[in-house]
Amino acid sequence: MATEEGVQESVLEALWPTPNPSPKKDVRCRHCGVKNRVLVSVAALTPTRVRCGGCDGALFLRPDEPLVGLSSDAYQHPLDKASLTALKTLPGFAALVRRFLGSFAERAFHLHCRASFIACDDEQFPELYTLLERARLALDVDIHPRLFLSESPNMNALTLGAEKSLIVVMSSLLDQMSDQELVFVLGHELGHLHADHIVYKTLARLLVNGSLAMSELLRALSLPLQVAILRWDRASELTSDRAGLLACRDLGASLGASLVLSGGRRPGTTSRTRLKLSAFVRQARELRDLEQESWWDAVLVGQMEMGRSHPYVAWRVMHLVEWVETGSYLDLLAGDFQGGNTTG
Amino acid sequence: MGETTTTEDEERGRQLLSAVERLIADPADIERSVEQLREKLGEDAGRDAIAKALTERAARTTAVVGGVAAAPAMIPGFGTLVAVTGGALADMSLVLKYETELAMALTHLYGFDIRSERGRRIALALASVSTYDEKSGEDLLVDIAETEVTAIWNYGGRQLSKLLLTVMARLALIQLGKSALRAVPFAGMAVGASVNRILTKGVGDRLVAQLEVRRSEEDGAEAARARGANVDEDGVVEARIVEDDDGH
Repeated sequence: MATEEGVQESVLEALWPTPNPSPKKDVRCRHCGVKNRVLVSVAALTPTRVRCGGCDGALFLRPDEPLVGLSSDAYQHPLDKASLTALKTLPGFAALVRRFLGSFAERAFHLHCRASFIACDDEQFPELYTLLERARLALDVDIHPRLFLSESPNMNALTLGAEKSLIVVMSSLLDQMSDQELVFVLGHELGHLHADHIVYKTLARLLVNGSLAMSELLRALSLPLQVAILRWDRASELTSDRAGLLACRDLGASLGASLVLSGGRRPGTTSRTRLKLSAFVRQARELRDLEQESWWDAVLVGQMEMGRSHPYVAWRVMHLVEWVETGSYLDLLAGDFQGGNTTG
Repeated sequence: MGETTTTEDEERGRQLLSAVERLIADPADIERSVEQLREKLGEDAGRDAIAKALTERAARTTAVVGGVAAAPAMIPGFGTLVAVTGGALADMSLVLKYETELAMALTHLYGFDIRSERGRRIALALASVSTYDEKSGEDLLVDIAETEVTAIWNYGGRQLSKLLLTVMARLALIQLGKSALRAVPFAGMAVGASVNRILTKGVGDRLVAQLEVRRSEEDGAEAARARGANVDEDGVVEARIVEDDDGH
């Protein structure tokens, strides 16, 4: 792994290459209330160096300080929020799915995990459990999911359980990600629990899988609902990426995790080259530009994405960077959960 | 903007804005009522307690408005039509009047000016944006690409007028879209009253949260100026960058 300084330089080069300076943002001081104008690059990469120009107090929380009292509303992506609000208005629906999950699917999956995977805690694989605790404490989430390790070549982690939650980490992630990147992933999974995504994510899975057993007519009739819920499902990932970043407070690690999810960090690659974050971010920006410049490209990307549960990685990268540059990320790091735009 | 409005919606928004502006009480009377309440609650009552009492009073009033606006539905046919169209818009005009007065009262309570035309329009903008957000579950300022709610205080006259027209058009649109329940005799009155009460309480809470932030910004800027910091006209200072322990 590169040194921390090297990673920071790489992020600087990726996001705000010379001569394009990073944007500035106004952040409220939690000690004296005055608004401070600060370069996003300095604040995001070296928050401990920034002090209030009014009272000289530390403008941002230390990376190990928890975001006490943080609500998921404070970092929820607007696309997620709008759709989830609509889903929550379906009367009795959440209670019904919770009931089904609690007594059947969730119970069965808990049994499956205990039967097949390694349960991690402060005795078994405490190193991984500690990373989960770090993410949990950073986000100040009062949920204690069971943690399982599963042997798998797939780079993935998943969360389940509306009543008794659990997180499963696939072992391939441990091969290819640093501790900070794993904290991002674990924070992402905790974000799903914190933002109450699980009930609706389960519905998305049930609809998509259930539709395979439906008649052609029923499948066609349920298509608009499937499309709508899968669109929300993808938007919920953007919220959870924000939770991941807040958990690790390390932009380099968050973008690095995305890079690894796209191209891996396998011996065959690492023995030949070192994948560059800057080129990866440029690639994501090119995709965004293509979508903005050509409506046909935008339609094609939209069409390809329609049946996916997760948004394209490049799209996630751009959304995360945008949130850091113009959204509420720095406000939250400054301990301001209300004053800034809490949803943007 | 995420949602386009038609010329008809804009016209309806303009009418709503002009109706509300005509109805708002005199700022001096609002200031007087805040001081009377302060006196009534006694010296020990803090700003929070007074804000809560002001919100409660406004919520009671808008509840009555909501019930009365749905009353025509008691007459079948014509009354139903009046309740779902005219009644709904009259209800919104009056709710906005009382919520704007609540915004002005709270603004005065937090030590800001409400006597000037600008102060009055800022209160109206705060009240209407909060009402829209509370009613729709959306975030209007995010939708129109504004970064912070306190940015409203820095709006120029034209920006403020544009914001007011936008929010009024949207309020008129959602108010008409959600007026079907008013057509039900008896139940329409109960629903109208309860919806308005909850709405105004929510708006009051939002206003207090925004004013708290604004107050802390103003106080912070003032204290920073007193310490000799270079605070610009928007109340912003340049953050200071220090070296890390390791010299970076």
